[in-house]
Amino acid sequence: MSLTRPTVLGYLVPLLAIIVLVILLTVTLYRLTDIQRAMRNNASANMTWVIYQAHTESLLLTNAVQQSLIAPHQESNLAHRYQMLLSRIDVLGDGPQKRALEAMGLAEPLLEQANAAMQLGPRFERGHIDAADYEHTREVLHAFSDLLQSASGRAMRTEWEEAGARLDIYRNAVLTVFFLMIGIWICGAVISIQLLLALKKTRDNERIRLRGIELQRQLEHERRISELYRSFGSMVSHQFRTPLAIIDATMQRLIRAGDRMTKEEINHRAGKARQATQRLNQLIENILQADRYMEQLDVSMQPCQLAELANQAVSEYRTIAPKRDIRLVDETGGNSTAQCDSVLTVQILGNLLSNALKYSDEDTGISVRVSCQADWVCCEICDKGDGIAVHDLPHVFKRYFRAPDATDIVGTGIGLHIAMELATLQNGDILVCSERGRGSCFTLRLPCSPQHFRQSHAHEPGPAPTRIDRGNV
Amino acid sequence: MQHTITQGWRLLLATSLLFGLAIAGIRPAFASGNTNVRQLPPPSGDVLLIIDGAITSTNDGTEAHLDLDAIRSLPAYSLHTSTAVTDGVKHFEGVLMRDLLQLVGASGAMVEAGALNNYSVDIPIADFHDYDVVLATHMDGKQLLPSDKGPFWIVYPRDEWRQLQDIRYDYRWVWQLNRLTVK
Repeated sequence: MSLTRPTVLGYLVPLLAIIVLVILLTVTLYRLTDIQRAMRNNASANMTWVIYQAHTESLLLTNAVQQSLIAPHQESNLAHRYQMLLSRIDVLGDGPQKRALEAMGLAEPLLEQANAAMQLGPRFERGHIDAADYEHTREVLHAFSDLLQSASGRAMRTEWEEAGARLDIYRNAVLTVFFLMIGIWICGAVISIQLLLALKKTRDNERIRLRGIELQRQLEHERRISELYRSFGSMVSHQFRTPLAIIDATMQRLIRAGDRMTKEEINHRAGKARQATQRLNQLIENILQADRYMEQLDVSMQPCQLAELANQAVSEYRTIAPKRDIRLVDETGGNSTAQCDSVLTVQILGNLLSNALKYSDEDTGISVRVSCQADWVCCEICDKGDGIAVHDLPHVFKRYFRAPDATDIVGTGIGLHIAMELATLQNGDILVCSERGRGSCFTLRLPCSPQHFRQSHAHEPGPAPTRIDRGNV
Repeated sequence: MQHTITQGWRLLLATSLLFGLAIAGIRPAFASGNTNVRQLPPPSGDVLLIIDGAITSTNDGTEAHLDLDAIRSLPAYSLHTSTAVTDGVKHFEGVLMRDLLQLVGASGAMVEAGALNNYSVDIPIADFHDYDVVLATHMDGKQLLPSDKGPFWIVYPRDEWRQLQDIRYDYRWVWQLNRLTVK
């Protein structure tokens, strides 16, 4: 991996920041536990107080000694005061206090003096002091008191030193944590900025992707429109050329041999030209009407018997083409209820029937079969014409599409397109299957009931018809 | 040594007796004013602990004067714990402070504990209900004496509760305890 600028900025910097952050957090945590531990270890002996207490008891004992000397016959509290001093000496000699005194270098002289005082114990317990003993007793107790007095000063200094040192430790630790926190703050900021940048980049990428999809969609739309124009051009060129050619040829003939023609012949030829003109007009009218028709469409869905609608359409075409053999078969057993608009459905069936009649020979029959398949009610209209080429099948429902081999039959390529649109409006569709030389079958499928809209119908019985998506214009 | 200590306590006893006689005159009036007052048996030995203040059981005016027998009449309790002023874990024997306060019918929020050296500290009575605080008479099997930390030492179960390992509890460990005032 080469160290390019984006690599450094995108990966190395945040990675480094995270590592540093983890290290800083760990060190901070360690320092904080240090402080916490140091704070708990503050149970040092309160030496100033202990020494002060011993000093007081020593002075009180001295006082009691003097009292006993001044008033030898009074009840003396020498013994009690001595007990109290003993108790203080006992505390001084106990573990924590003794260690503190040792640290101050006071343990040995103090305990030595304490021992000297305890040597005098029997005198105090006796309850009185003789004049002979007084001087020595006073000296011993004074020496002890003096030593305790200076010791209390030393103890105070030591304790203050310790307190100062402890505060130093706390202050340094807090300062360290303070700087560590600044480091953590900086690392956090770096990571946050990286995150924000990454987020922005993701958003930008998403926007670019959506823009790409939109462009793709527009391109597709453009492609469809251009295809539509091509189909339109192709249809116009074929459909309009024939009548134009008829008109042109008739006019040439009239120009060239008009003076030799009888009036009847001229009329006959002019009539042909006019027919061609009418056809042109009809074509144009059909094209314009198709758009208007789709715009003004009003769909009213209700349960209808498809077999009855098929019968209507068939009857109509039997009148139009009385010579053709149109057979209607109802395989539903009398129940072919579909959810649809009856008028639109008859129009679809009419369109399919007219196509069947148009694209097959006069002496061939047309079969119309109504059946139920899963959630669908179907009406299949089959002819025995030339069929549709396999490569044309996917295009038959596209607007203005005319199969190249059927251009001699008049048509705009709008009929099937509209039929499919109408079927879709009713939640149905039209399937087509065809075989060259044997004929074509168009099947209108409509949903049985309102709940069963077409969702997924993977299983189609019989030969799988080619499912054609309607051209999207 | 034991002999002279007894002497000392005798002195204390004498003083308290004198004090008791002095207030004897007002005692009936006090008793009739407070019907809840319960009489404690008079001490037969040296009075080691005086309890006064908001208490209902007394044996000397408004005070309860307790000797070692009176203390020992309460359920014995023992406890192992370290202390702030000694090394290692010590074994204390004595009675629970809450039992003692119940004995004298104490009602209040605080107890002022006083020691032979005039040290005094206010202890919340809640401490005695929250923790098994002991009025120790013995340490490591040896009776506490005024020459060490006797006659009584208030001992907290320091090793059982982390919050008791705090200098703010250490000063409640009154040794040479000789007086309690319920407030």
